[in-house]
Amino acid sequence: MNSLGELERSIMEVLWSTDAWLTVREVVNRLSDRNLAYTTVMTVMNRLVRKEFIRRERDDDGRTWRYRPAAGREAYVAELMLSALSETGDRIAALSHFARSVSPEEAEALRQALPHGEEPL
Amino acid sequence: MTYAAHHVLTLLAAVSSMAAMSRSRLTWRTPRTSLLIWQAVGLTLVLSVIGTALAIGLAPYRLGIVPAVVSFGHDLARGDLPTGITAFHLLLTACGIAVTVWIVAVFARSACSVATLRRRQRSLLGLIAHPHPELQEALVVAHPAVAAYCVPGRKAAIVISTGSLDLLTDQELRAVLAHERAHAHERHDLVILPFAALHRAFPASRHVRAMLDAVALLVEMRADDRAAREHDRRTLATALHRFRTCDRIASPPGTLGGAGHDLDARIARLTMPSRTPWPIRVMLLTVALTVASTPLSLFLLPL
Repeated sequence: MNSLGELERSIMEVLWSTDAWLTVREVVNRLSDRNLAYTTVMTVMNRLVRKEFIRRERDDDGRTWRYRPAAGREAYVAELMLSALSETGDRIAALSHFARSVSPEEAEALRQALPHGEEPL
Repeated sequence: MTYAAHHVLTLLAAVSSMAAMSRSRLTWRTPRTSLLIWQAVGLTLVLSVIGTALAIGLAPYRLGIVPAVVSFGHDLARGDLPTGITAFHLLLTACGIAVTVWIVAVFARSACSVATLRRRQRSLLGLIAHPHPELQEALVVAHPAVAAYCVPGRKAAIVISTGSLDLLTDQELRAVLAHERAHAHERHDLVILPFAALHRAFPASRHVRAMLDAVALLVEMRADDRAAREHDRRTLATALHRFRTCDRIASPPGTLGGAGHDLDARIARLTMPSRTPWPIRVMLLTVALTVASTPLSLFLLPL
């Protein structure tokens, strides 16, 4: 995992840790013990916006952007696991399993937890 | 017409070897050779179906299929077809070309959807997975479901859920990772891809599905064998056994079952290994090469 990837993950963790909308400055302040440049964090956050992992909107003053995650962490974990456990031809080609095991109830729970508005896989 | 007859014969040969291969447990003894034969059978199947249609359709040219298609194209462009070509010939030629185009299109779409799925997996892993504290190659996802898999590619990722970590001992975990590494190194995804695409092209065909299942199982057995080189076979077998017997059912809704049965076969194979003598290997390999080369030569050489 490269350092930009790590930064993406740290930023997501900051955003997941609160229900509030955060500005880039607030995210920079909450990132633990790093001397990260404001612009670096902003660039990575905009990349996450493009990938649709976070959403942004204008602040009340109408000038600064504020951000929050598009979906909770659990939703992404659920998507990842469901896509790994389902077994269609293309998926067999995309992922190789050692073995997979999930009960119907668990699979349903995974489906329920998918990001809002997302088609079941 | 002899030419078409050859294609029909290869088609019959491919279909019968497909039936034999799906049923034979001998294939489990040498997964790598068996995979090679399956590839040959799959290729033959596709080529001989197309070949039969085109060979009959273009019979009046008395050429190999490729040269005949070229001549046919030229004649069609000039609007001057040979008198021997009837509506029946045109229909079969059109069918042959349509099947070819269809298969190529579905293969491309399948490859794209696999690539999209992997990209999505990778970006999700980037956000939520953590490297295992000791085994750096493994990415850990915090989830109780029992799963261990590999996202293949030039830089493969091996993923394991915390549910699996709870289930396995340290030695078993290492054996499972070796299994996944084998998938990644030998690019088993590329072995499966054409069969998955074929299944996508003909989703209603039970035979194509059976072929995909057989290949998917053989790929797992091959990875088991690779892992068993570095680790004790029994360690791997107990790891599989734990997956099999943990209190979850191995078929989520909307997926095709059979995983439980396949696991039993793999466990049995690991606990009671049997070597195949080399004459049988050589024989199987010869069969594979013959099966594959026949329709290819029919495509290129005029009779």
